Parts: sequence; C-alpha cells; structure tokens
Amino acid sequence: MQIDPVTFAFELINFLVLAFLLQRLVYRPVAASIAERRKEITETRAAAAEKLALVDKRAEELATRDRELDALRETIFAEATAAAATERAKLIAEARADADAERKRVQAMLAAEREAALGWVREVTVEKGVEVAGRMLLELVPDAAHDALVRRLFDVLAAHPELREQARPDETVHVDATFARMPTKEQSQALKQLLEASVGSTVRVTITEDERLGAGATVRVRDRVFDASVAGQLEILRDDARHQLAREHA
Amino acid sequence: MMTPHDWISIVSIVTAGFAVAVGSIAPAIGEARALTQAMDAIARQPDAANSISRTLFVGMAMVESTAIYALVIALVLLFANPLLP
Amino acid sequence: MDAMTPQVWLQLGPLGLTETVFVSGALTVLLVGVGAVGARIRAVREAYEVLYEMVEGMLQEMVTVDATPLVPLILTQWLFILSANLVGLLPVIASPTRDLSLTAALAIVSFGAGHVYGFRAQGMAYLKHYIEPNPIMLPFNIVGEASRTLALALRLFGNMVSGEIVGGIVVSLAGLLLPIPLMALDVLTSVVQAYIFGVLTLVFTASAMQVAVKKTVPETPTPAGSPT
Repeated sequence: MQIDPVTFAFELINFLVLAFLLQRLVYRPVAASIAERRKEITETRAAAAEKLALVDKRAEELATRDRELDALRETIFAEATAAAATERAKLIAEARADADAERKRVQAMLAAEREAALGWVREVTVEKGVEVAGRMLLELVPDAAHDALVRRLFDVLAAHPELREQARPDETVHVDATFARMPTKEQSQALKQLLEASVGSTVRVTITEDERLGAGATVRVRDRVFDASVAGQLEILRDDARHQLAREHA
Repeated sequence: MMTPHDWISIVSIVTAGFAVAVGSIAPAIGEARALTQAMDAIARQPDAANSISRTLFVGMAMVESTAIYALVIALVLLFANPLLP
Repeated sequence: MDAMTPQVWLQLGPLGLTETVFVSGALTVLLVGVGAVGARIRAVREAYEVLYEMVEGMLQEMVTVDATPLVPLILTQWLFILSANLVGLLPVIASPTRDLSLTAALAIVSFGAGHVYGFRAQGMAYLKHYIEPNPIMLPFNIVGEASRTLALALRLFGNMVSGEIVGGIVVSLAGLLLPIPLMALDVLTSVVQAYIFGVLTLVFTASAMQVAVKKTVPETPTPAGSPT
C-alpha cells in the first residue's frame, strides 16, 4: 500500500523515457508520413480540381463553339431559305412568263384563226353579197339595165377619141364585142360607126353573145377593154369591197 | 483477555466490511440510474449511441471510483492499519 | 499481502528494485522495440498510421482545443497502461499497475502534463485559472487539482487490485475454472481503466489549455465530469 520512492521515481522516469522514445521513434515518423499523405491527397485533389476546371473550361469552349456552329447553321439556313425563295420566285416568274408567252401565242393563234375565219366569212359575204346583188339586179330590171348599159358603153366609147392616135389609116382594126344578148341591127350598126369614128380606120367587129355577163356588153379594142356589163360591175364591186375590208382589218 | 490491539483489529475489520458494503451500495444505485438513463437516451436517439455509450463508460468508471475508494479504505484498514504496529 | 506489496526482485544496496520496476521496464523496452521495428516495416507502419489517425480523430472529437499535440501523451498512456494491465493476466507476472507507486507516478505525469500544456498554450495567464471565478476559490482549486490527481492514481490502482483480490479469493474458494469469467471481466476492466485514464488526462489537459476560452464558450463538451 505504501508508495515506494524508488519505484515511484523509476516509474516516473520510465514513463517519460517511454513517451520520449515512442515520440522519437514511432509517433513523429508516423505523423510525418500521415502529414505527407494528407499533403499528397490535398495536392492530388488540387490537381484533380485543376483538371476538372480545365475540363469545365474545355466543355465551356465546346459549348461556345457549339453555339457558334448553331448560329452559323442558322445563318446558312436563313441564307439558303432566302436563296430558295429567290430561286422559287425566279422560277415562278419564269413559269409565269412562259405561261404568259404561251397564252399570248395561243391567243395570237386563236386571233389568227379567228382572223382567217373572219376573212373567210368576209370573202363568203362579199361573194354572196355580190352574187345576190347581181342576181337581184338582173331579176329586177334585166332589160332596162341591159339597154342602159349598152348606151353607156357607147357613151364611153364616144368619150375616148384618143383611140385614134394609134390608128393607121390602112389598117383594119379587129374589135371583139361581147353582148349579154344579141344586139339589134341598129345597135350593131351604131357600134360599128362609133368605133370607126373613134379609131379612125376600118373596123371589123366580131360580135359574140355571152349570157354570163348578165346584162350590158364589153368591147375590146386592141389592148383596151371597155366594160359595161353587170358581171364587170360586180367584179369591180367585189374588188372594192375586198379592198375596203382588207384596209379596215390591216 | 482482549488487548487494545485486538479491539482495534476487530473494529477495523468490522469497519472495513461496512465501508465496502455501504460504499458499494451507493455507487451501484448511481451506476444503475446512469445506465437506465443511457438506455433511454439510446432508445430515443440511436444515432447518438456511440457518443452516449462512450460517455456512459467514462461516467460509470468515475462513479465506480467511489466504490474503489471505499475498497481502498477497507484495504488500508485491513492491511496497512496505521493504529497497528 | 502479495497482491499489494510487490516483491523486491533485486536489492542494490539501499535500493530495492521491485517486480514493478522490472516488469514496467520490460514493457517499456517491448513497446519501444515493437514500435520502432514496426515503424520500419512498411505494412506495419501503415497500420500504425491508420491507428494513429483513428486515435487522433477520437481525441479531437472529445475536446474543442487542437488535440494534435496531446496525441503522443495520451497514446503512450493508453499503450503503457493497457499493456501493464493485461500483462497481469499472464501467469507468474503480476500487473505493475497493482503498485500504487506506478499509478501515482502516472498520475503525477498527467498532472504535470496539464500544467506544461497549459503554460505552453496560454503562457503565464494559465495561472489565473487558480483564482477563477474569484481569489477566495484558490484553496479549493488547489485541493481540487490535488484530489483529482490522487483520484487518478487510486482509481487505476483500486480497480486493478480489487480485480486481483476478488480473483484470488474466488480461486481459493472454488478452484481452478471459476476465475476464468472473472479474468474476462478483468480484461474489460483493464481496457476500460486504461481508456479512462487517458481520457481523463486529455480532458484535464484540454481544460487547462482553454481556460481563457471558457468564458466565451460556456458549453465545453467534456465526456467525463470533474473527478471526485
């Protein structure tokens, strides 16, 4: 039960020595390597954090690039859309122009056809009109007309003394006279006298009958023809009508 | 014939017995209460079981020290009685 | 009585070297040897590192001051007391902690450590804690410190001796096999007492280190209360 001073002193020293030796030989190196390990861990963590930051930065860069590419894509898309719109508009315009041209062509063709048809109608109209006019003329006053026309022919012949200028006195001039119906003796005689007076030389008249003239007569002296027949008048009328219509539609 | 030394021995032995007996009752009750409280606390907060049981151990050892003191007194009376030569 | 008065193994003139001296000396040599050799073997050293870090964590959990400088002291106490307690389980050899001289020496070391660390942490301001909360308390403070140091020594000593005595009585009464459960209990007591000695030293030392801080931080988590 007593405290033995020797043992007490020894134990005091013993424990202190033990603590000192353990501190020197065990705790300090162990603590040092723990500290080293912790430092290493910290450094590794720092390095890892650094790398993480780097990765983050890289990711950020990639994201930025991504965004840029997106924007670029948008731009290209917009440009392409605009170009497509332009192209489409151009194509549409071209197609419209083509269609217009086609329509115009067709319209022209139709107009030409119509024109042709109209021309044909005109022609027919003129023909028929002239025919109807001639027929009506002949139907209504055949004899009066015939006589009037012959008289008029004579008037014309009398009014053309210049036929004489070409005449040679010893020559016999052949004259062809065509009548719608055979003239009377007086008429033939009158004609022969009138011609001789006009031409100024001997005249031999060859008289032929041609019903196609309708009424009136024609006389050919050398290269000149004096026409006072319904057919001839109708021919003139027809030509006039034709010319008139052609002028109007030109 | 009883000498004074004999009386001292008798009284010392009896006192040592009482010292241990009484000195162990109180710490036993105290320890039991501490234990029940600790069990209660652990049941309520199982998460803190580690810290509670560690504190309980230390506290119990402290309480038990009281009993140990009684034992030391008893031992002194029995084996190192200053009144006996 | 065998259990309480260690045998003198070697008498050098007036100096009687008891069994305690030899056994504790042998333990010192053993611990230092194992420690020093183990620290040179890589695997063992790494185990040491794990243990050291674990101990450091445990100690740091219990106190608010920086426990790092206290680790060597507490760890040495644990190792020494634990091995000294357990060596008593071997036949022939008696536990050195059954000697009040040894436990008193350990308690004095603990007491001294409180002052050394207190001075190191606060300088002369450390002495002020004797007159806290006011100078009238000076004697009480001194008695308190002395009594808790005494209590440290007596607690370890009493626990070990009581185990030994009870074991001896049971052996003498009941024969060979019955003491075995008691020896198991002894193991528990040995571990717990070693643990408590170290923890109390830690708490005292830490409180000595943070007297000045105590005012601003009223709640100081101490696992053990003030000793009786």
